[in-house]
Amino acid sequence: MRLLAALLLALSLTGHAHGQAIGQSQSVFPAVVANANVTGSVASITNQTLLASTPPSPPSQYYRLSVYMECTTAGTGTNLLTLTRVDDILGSLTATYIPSLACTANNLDRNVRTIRVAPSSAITFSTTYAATGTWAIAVTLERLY
Amino acid sequence: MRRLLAALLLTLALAGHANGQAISQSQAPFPSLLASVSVTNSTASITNQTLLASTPASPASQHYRVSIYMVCMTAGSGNNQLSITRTDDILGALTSTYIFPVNCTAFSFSPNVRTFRSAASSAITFSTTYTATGTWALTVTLERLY
Repeated sequence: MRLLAALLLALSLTGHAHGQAIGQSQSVFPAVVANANVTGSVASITNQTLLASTPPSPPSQYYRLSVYMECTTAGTGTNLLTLTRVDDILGSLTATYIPSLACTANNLDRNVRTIRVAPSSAITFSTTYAATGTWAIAVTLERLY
Repeated sequence: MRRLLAALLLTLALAGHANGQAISQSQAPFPSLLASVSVTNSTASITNQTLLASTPASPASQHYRVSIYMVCMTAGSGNNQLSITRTDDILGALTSTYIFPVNCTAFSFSPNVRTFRSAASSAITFSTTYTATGTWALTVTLERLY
């Protein structure tokens, strides 16, 4: 009887229609799961691991990435930041999260983006740095569900 | 002594350092909501409203996120923009426009989420620059990410 009540409660909290699931009361989220603080960067950064492996369940997970990138010593050329992860539907994806940013004095970009991620997969970031100048980057990764 | 050494080794294992780089996991208390502001019926520029009088004394480099919703409630002319002033831990005092000029047409709004670095023991404030007629509402929340 208790099992039946628990099942009914679970069903009442989750609606399903056309692949849709709506849940409430996710009190443990958002939760910061990783952060990176890079200063004095003068070269491209390749595949830095933010999270080596997402939890093995649920099969679809949702994350938020807060990125702040600034030119701390002016130079020439640009820098951009990309994020690599395994989308639970589309598979492995690499997307530019901060588009090319010129390294002029105090130039900055401060984006917040979200991603779907498959279980047991890695989340990494990299930068593609084209010329001279010095950069600082702050990245925070939160799990939303 | 052994416990201290073990704690030190664990800390080192969780954080990689190269070229000023630190990556860490398990930031359990974060994100944390530190401040929120709700302004309605704003018909003039707002100067230097304090969101946080002083960031914590450590660590030396902190990461914050600001969520802003600015909406024109009563249409008028001209535009409004929002700026955040803080002390960057590398660049020093900075004022950046976080919502660029939004025209005050009926129900015009801007819903931005942005991040910034901040130094320890420094203030975070916001201001608006309002150029004409119309009425605005503004919601701002400030979270600390690390």
